[in-house]
Amino acid sequence: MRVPILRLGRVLLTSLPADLTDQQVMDLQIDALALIQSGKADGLVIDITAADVVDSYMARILSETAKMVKIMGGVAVLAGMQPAVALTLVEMGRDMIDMETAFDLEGGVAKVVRLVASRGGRHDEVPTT
Amino acid sequence: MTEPMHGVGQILLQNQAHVLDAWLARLHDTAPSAQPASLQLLKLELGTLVEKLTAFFLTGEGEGDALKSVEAQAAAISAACARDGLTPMETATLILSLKAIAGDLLNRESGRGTNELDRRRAALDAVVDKLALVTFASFVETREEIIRRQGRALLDLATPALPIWRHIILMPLVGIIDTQRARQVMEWLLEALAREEAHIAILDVTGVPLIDSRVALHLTKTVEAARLLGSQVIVTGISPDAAQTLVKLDVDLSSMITRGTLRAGLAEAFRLLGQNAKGPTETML
Amino acid sequence: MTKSRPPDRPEPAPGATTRALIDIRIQDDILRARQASRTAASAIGFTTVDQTRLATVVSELTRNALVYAGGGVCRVLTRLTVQERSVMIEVEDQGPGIADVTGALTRGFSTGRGLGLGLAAVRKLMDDLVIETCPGRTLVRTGMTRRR
Repeated sequence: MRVPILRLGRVLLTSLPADLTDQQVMDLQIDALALIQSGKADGLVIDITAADVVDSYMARILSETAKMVKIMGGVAVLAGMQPAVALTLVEMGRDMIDMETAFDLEGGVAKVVRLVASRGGRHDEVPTT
Repeated sequence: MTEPMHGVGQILLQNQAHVLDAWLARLHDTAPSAQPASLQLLKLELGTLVEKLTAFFLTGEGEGDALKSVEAQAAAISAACARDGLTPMETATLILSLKAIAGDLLNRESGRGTNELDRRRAALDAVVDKLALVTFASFVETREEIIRRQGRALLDLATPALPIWRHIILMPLVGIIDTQRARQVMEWLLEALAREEAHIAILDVTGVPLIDSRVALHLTKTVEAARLLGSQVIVTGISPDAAQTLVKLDVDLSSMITRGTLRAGLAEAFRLLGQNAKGPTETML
Repeated sequence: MTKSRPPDRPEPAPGATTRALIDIRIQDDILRARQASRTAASAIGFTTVDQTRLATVVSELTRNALVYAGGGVCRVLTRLTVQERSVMIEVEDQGPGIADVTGALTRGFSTGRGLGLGLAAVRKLMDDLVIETCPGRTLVRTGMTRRR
């Protein structure tokens, strides 16, 4: 089963389940990039509150997804990581998660909005001077 | 072996009260730092030891349950001494003084210069020496247990995480930071961030006497872990000494927000909160 | 401590209890192994953080077995004594073996498909790591011990 991605305004939201397989993470990457490409969204918030394990594979796919979104002109934020997961990732090595982070879903949305604004605004708007 | 031991046993049995009195009379000299309350208890315990020792000699066997029982009693006395703050010297002297007391007794009862006396004294000395060793091991063990317990208590005490403002927690670190403590601090800080829904943690290291590259490494890890949670850490109170050390050791602290004083750190926390709160959210949604 | 030595059939640690044995055939098995290690560690009182470290390690090792050897088996053993609690993880497969163990333990090294961070991470999260490998059989055994 694919992880659903919701759209709130111009921000994509997705919440990862606790028992996420490698295939589901890959599918999520493909789906998110397709939605960014469609031009309906500027950013992506991935909520991982439920995830009690983030191993090196998942960390890499998430970081790569963020980079891909960035190359496509968007912003991706990882939100709601558990303290134990953060500790484990830091012990595993430097920069395991190479992407923006936020405290929770709400903070993630705010961060996407802020980053998009600081970058020069929405994709579908002509800047008003 | 049986005869001399049995002989010692008989002599002890007939003079139990005398041995105990002589032992107690010496207590003030051998253990001057003992408190009255612990002396009271010690008297009872020593009485039991004399009884068990007598029973052991009467069995006439070098090994066995009787000896184990004597050793256990000596270990219990020693552990009590360690808990009551007697010095190792006092504790050892206390046990060893039995040699002189019982030795005098043997001299008196066996008749001087006889072979019998020599063998009895040898039997007595062997046992008392053994007890002294048991006593020492038990003393050290008890002290170590106390130190471990205090270490744990100190670890719990010394690292509170205080919610000082909405979204801001303060964690003052006091004392030496070793690897185990650094790990613990990191866990507590992260759990506190999550629990208090804090966006910013101020880690004050004014009370940490030594900040070297190892401590700095733990600090940078903590900062990185907090970043993964979506929170920020401000480190305050780095002393001139620490600053000199860190620069000379070429430690990379570029990822860390540092401020000289707690006050400056707090100001920075408010600035960051204000900055994060701003943003044209409504235009996007 | 990390070392690599010629394979021989390892004896289980004295006093250890096998808590779980999971066949690794499909991706869902990785999740099952992860959950089993967490449950076993929790049962003998490991902290949430240590449970997470263990579950992450199991995830790394079982994925390696699945991706590089097409599958394997994961054993979780626990031991509780008066002084300490410990968990041991063993992952065994019949794959081609790890040609360069030292390389595989170095961060960033990989023989393909973008994996390879796994073993280096395992070494950092656990107290000890032993890798026995040759073509046809690889056993990775790693343990975590905590004072009570």
